[in-house]
Amino acid sequence: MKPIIRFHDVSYTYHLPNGQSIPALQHVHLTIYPGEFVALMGANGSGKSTLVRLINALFVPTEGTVCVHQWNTRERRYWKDIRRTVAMVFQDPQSQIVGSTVEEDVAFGPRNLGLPQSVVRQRVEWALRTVGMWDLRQRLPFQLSAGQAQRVALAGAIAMKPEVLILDEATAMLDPAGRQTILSLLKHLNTLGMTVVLVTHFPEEASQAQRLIVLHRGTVVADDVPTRVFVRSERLAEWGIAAPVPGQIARRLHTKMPCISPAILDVRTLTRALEECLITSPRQSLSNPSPRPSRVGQARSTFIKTRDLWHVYMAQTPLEVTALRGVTLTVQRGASVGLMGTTGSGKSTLMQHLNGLLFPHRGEVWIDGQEIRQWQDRLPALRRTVAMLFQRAEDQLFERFVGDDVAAGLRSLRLPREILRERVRWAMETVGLEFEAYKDRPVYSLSGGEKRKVALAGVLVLEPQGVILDEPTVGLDPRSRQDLMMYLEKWHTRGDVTLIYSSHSPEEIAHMTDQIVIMQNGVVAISGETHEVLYDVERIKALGLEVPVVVELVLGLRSRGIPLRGNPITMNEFVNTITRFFRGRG
Amino acid sequence: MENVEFLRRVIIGIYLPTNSWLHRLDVRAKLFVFLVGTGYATFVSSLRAQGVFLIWVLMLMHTARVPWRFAWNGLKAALPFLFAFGVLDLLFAPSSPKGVICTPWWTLGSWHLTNCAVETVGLLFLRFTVLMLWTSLLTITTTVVELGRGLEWYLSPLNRWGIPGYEVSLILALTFRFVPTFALEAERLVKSQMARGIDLGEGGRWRFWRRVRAMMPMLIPFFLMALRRAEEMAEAMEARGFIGVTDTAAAENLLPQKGGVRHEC
Repeated sequence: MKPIIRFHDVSYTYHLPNGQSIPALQHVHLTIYPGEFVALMGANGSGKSTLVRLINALFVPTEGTVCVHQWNTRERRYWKDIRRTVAMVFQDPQSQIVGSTVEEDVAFGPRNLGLPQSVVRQRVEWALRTVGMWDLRQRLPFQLSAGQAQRVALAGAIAMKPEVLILDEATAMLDPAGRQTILSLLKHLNTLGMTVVLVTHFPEEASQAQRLIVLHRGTVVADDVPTRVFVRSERLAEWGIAAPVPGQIARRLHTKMPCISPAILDVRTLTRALEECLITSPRQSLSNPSPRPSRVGQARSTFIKTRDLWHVYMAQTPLEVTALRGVTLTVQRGASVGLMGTTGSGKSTLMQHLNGLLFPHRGEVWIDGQEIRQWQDRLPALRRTVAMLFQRAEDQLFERFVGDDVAAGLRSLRLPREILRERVRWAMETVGLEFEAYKDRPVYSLSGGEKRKVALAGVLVLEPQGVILDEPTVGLDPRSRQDLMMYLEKWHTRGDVTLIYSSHSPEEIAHMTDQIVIMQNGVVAISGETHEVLYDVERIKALGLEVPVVVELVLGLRSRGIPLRGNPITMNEFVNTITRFFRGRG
Repeated sequence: MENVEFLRRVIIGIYLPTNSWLHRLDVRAKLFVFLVGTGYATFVSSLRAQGVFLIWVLMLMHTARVPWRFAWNGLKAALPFLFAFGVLDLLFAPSSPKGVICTPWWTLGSWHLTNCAVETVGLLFLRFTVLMLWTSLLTITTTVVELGRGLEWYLSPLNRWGIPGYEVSLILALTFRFVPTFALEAERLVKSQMARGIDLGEGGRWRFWRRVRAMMPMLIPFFLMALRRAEEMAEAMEARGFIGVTDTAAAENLLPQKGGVRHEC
């Protein structure tokens, strides 16, 4: 078979205005054949985005040659053909929608190809029906949820009937259900013969591909079947990518239970291996699982309370949306509450009510013993009592130097210099930024993960009684994600701060919180203690969310007659439960 | 207590698919009337004429099924600015322009409040209101791509001098498409600062100057965001077969290679 994409000794170098040059790709050789489903992984800055932009001639190599069919991307006269052949979906759906309505946007590509109006109309209908957005074709771009918008972007790409479809971290900003939808669409398109190149940080997505390419510092370090790449554990950490969660668990168990192969990557195989391992060992007394240390039971006072809270966006316009429809909720002082729900379920809106960024259209919000209307003249003070970190907060840093930005929230307090300095130092070191090394660095010189930490320090520096974190790890690569989680956990176990934490990752929620509130369609659908709620698998999945892999393992083992007790939800708890059980029998 | 919701204050650049006769009207005709109307509102300096024009715009809005509330929300956002300009005008504008006889109504030292000054301020008010509603009427009833095609038709004679009509028109039309996006982004930016206790002069409706001063540092991240958005949009458009006027990143490496053997495909 003739290859569809060929990289011959390709290098790409970025030239900065100050004369510096940064090599993004170095001597890459690569061949992709028609009909392949290729996943591309690598830490931030490893060259993934550059590589895919070289495929469709958005970039042209500094050295070497990129071919699409017989077309050299260096030759401008082929660009139209190349872009008709290779379509691309980007990370942020809102900045790739050109049209005023869904329908008009999907037609943009086919129109650029100069197709006749009737063909354009056919293509638009086919594309929108394929992604399941035909009924919403009259919607405006900003009325769509992230998942819907990304489906529109996908429709816009496939409406050009490309042979190759590239997704550049196109699922990073979606919830689990949205990611699942996109992934099944990709598989469907792949069976129709479309070549798919999927850039992702999620190992679960990459393992669905036939082939996984790993980039590390601009070179291809692995190119193989995903399962074979993921078992090369010793290298994964160096490359800054993660193995699927079942794989991580298997590897940790292997050190204590040699009967578990460290090469296992999926839940089903791991369940079976655990079953055999636990059953074949001679039966002895069962040990009691240690109860999960819970802070919920202790008597505490109410810190935040909402009663029948309603909120309407774009009120009294034709674009009105009701985001909250009667939320009643109590958060105890010192609790840590996980907030889950699909995009558009009202999480962000709810969180912004809890520190006076938004005000209810109906209902009440009580914070620290006072109704929101009583806070009216002291709103900055309220927001220092309960501070919030927005999604992708690194985009919102506004001072030039790191230290100044962290201190910005304290400025109006007019603290003495020394105290200010100490608090900034404490906040920066809490998130793992060494004070002396970072305080005078310009914000723009930091990496994405470091900027996110600066933003977090800017919230912690207020020493608030409550902290609200809106998807604090979204969009980070596994390495920065783990790093941030580590510091967050350290900070949280030390203090007695009320934490409200939203995330789409059930693993993170299990790790960080004691209680869970799950939102759906503007109301609270499920709430309770984390280790109980996360075992309500059917209801959670029905809401389009996921449970931790650990929970699936425990339930699988129980259904096979292995009486694991306690409800472990984190990897640590699970490994402890299993090894104790194993030793109890072995 | 008022919610921070910038998008609710934006009426320019939002397309409302109410499917009225104005939506269906040929975009070239719409653009022609729009240009004539804009010229009229800009250059005619009679209170009565502006008033008549305003009534006409309001009638058009009504037949385009634009809810009054929607238009009013957009105007309300501009009121503090208009008041500020109006007051400055009353204080410092010449109370009687040359060759016009004005009646002083009220005198304080050397400062007179005359009927001319009041008329000037009234005109400013009316003109601004009319232009704002007039522009939003165009974008409420016309999609970006339609607008681009209309402009293209008018710009097509320029093709002769090598100016690409389609590309230029689409870029002009996209300017409107970005207004709501920028409003949303600006809102996020402002809120995320407020969320860590930074006082941006909320509350008091008339703490206008304080608010402006507090917002100044936000301009840098706002422009960075705008540039990033524009760049992302340009990339996404190119990837969908739009070969732009000037090419972005690809341009510099198009020249013959520096060293190395050219590999044929």
